[in-house]
Amino acid sequence: MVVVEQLIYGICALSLWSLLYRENPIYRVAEYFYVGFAAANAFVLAWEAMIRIAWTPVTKGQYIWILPIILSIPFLLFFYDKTRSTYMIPISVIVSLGTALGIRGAIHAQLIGQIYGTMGSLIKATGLDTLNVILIAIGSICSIIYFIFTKEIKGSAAVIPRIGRIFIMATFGAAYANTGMGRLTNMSGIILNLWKTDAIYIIPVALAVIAIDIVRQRMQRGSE
Amino acid sequence: MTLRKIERLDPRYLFLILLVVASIPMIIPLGLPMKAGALTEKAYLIIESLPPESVVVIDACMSAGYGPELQTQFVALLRHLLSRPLKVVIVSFGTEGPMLFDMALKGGLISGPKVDLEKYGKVYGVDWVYLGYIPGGETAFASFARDSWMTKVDDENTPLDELPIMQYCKNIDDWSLSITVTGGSFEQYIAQWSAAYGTTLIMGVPGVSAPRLFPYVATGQLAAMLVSLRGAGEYELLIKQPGLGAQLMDILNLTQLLIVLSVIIGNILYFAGRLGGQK
Amino acid sequence: MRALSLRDIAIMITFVLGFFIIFEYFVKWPEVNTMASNITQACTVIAGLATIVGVGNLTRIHIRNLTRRGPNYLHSIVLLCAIWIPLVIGIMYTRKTPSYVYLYNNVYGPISNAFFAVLAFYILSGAYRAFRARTFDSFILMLAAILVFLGNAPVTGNLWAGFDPLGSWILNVPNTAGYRGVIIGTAIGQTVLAVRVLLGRELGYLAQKRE
Repeated sequence: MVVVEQLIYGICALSLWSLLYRENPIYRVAEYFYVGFAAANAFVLAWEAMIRIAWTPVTKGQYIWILPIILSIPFLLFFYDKTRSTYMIPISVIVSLGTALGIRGAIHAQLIGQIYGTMGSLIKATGLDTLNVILIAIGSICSIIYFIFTKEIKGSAAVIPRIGRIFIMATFGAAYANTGMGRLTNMSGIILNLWKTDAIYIIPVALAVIAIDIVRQRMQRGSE
Repeated sequence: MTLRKIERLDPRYLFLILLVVASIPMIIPLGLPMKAGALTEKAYLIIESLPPESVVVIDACMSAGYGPELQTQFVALLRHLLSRPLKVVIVSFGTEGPMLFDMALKGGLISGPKVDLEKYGKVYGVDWVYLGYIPGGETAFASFARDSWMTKVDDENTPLDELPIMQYCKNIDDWSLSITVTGGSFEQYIAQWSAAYGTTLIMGVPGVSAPRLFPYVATGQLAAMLVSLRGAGEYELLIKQPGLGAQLMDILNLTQLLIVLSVIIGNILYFAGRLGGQK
Repeated sequence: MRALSLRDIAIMITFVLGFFIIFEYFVKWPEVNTMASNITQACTVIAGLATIVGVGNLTRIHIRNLTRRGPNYLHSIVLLCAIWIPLVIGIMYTRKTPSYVYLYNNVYGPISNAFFAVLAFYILSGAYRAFRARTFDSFILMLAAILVFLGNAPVTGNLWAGFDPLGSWILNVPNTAGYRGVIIGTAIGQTVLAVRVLLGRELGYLAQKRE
C-alpha cells in the first residue's frame, strides 16, 4: 500500500530541485507556496502566543494585559494611507527594547567576554595549549586591526593587517567547509527519504519529464 | 574533450554526479565508523553529570529548512534528557519549533523514529512540560529568563500553577542547564542567558553557523556545542540510541569527500591549462 | 513651538523605554525589575503580532498582481492560497488541526528542506568551477576548507588519524582568532548604532530620514 504522504514528499522535494535542471513553473509554484505558508505560519503561532500571554490574563481580570494588544492595532492600520504613520508607536517599543537588550548583550557577552577571553589567561596547562592561546591572541588583534583601520597601513607595520587577513582567510575556509557540511546534510536527508520510502516512485517520473524536455528542446533546435 | 571543456563542465553534470555519489550508500550500505568529537562528548558529560531533579530548559527552535541537521540533534538530546531523572522544560522561540517538536514526538521523514515517551516512564506536568511558542526573539529570551511563567499556560492551555514541574522553574536561577537547538540568534542566547546570568549553555547548531561560535566555546560562554548532523550522529552513538543521524552519516562522508576531490581536480585542471597555455 | 508629531512621540518612547531597560540592568529594585519584566513580556506579544504586516503586504502586492494580470499572476493565486488557507485554519482551529499539520509536515517541510539543500549542489559546482588558488590568500582559504572538510568526514580518520585533530585545530585556533575580530568589530558597531537609535539620531526603523 503506497503511502500518499511519502509520494507528496517526493513531489514537493523534486519540484523544488527541478530548479537544478532549469527554471520552470513547477519550481515557481513550490517557491510561492513556501513563502506564503511561512508568512501564515508565523502569524498563526504569534496569534496563539498572544492568546496565551496577553488575552488569557485579560479574561481572568488582569486588564493591564490589554495594552500590548491595543498597541498592536496600528499594525492593521498600516495598510491605510491616512493611518499608516501610527505604526511608528509599536515599532518604537519593539526597537527600543530590542536595542537596549542588544547593547547589554553586545557589551557584556561580545566585547568584554571576547576581549577577556583573548587576553585574560595566556598561560595554560600544556605548552601546545599556551601556543594556541597566544596564536589566537595574535590572530584576534591582527584581524581587529585589519577591520577597524580603514586607512591603509604602510611600511613595516603593514605586516599586522596582513597577518589578520591570513587568519580571516582561514576563517572563511572553515566557514565554507562547515556550510558545505550543513547543506550536504539537508540534501542527505532528502536522498534518504527518496530512496527509502514510497517517494522512490516519483524519481522515474521526474527522470521521464526531464528526458521529454531534453528531446523537445533538441527537436526545437533541430527545426530552427 | 579538451581540458578546458572538462574544467568548464556544465554544472548539471556535477549535480548528477553528486546525486549518484549520495545514492551509493542507499544501494551499498557502508556502515563507516564514527567517533564522538570533543564538543559532543562534553555536551553528553554535562547532561550525564547533572544531579537528579535538576531543571533543564531546552529550546526547540528548529526549522524545516535545516531539516535533519537540527531535528536529529533535538531528538538525541531529548532522548538523553528523558532517560535521566531530570525536570525537562521545553519551549520554542522559533515559529516552526512547535510543529517540529510535535513531529519529533510522533516521528517523521525529517525527524526519524518517534521519541517514545512511554519508554522513559515520564509523566507530563511532573517530569516534563512543553510551554509552546514565545515570540519576540532576544526580547523573549530575556523575558523568559526573568520569568519562566510568562506564558501563563502550557501549550495545551493548562495553567502553569496546575503543573507541579513549574514549581521548580520560576526563573533562570532555577535552571541547572539551558540547551538551545536553533538556526539563528546564537549571540542573543549567549548574551541573555549565559553572559547575563552565568547559566551553563549548550547549543545545537547547523554547520553553517558553527565556526562563528567557536570563540564563545573558547571563552566558556558556550559550554558545549553539537555541530550539524555529525554532532547528532556522535550524540546518538554516545547515548547508544542510533537514529536518523547515524543513518545519514554515510552519505555525508562520501559527499564531503566528493567536494574535496572537486576542489583538487578543479585546481589541477586550471593550473594544467595555464601551463599548457604558457607552452 | 510646534505640536508633537507621531514621529516625535515614537522617538521619545524609544529614548525613555530604551534607557529604562538599560538602567534596570544595573539596579536590584524589585518594583523596577518587575516593571521591566512586564514590559519585555508585553513587547513579545507586540513583536509577534507585527507579522500581520508581512501577511498583509504580501496579500496586497499579489492581489494587485492578479487583478492587473502582472508577471506570474497565476503564481500569485498559489501564494494567496498558501497564506490564507493555513491562516484561517490555524486561527479558527489551532495549529494542531490535522489539516494544518498535514500541510506543514508533507508540503511545507519538504519544500523548505529542499530549498536549503539546493545550495549543496551549488557548493559542489562552485568548488569545482570557481574555487581557484590563484593567490596566497586564496590558497590559505582553500587549504583551510579542505582540512576542515576532511576533519568533518569521520571516515578520513581511517586514512590518517591526523585529519580530525587538524580540522579541529583550524576551527579552534585560526577560525576562532578570525571570528573574534569580526565579533568585536560587530559589537562595537552594534553598540554605536544602538546608542544612535536610542538618542533619536538614527531613524531608519521609522522609515524616516537620518538626522
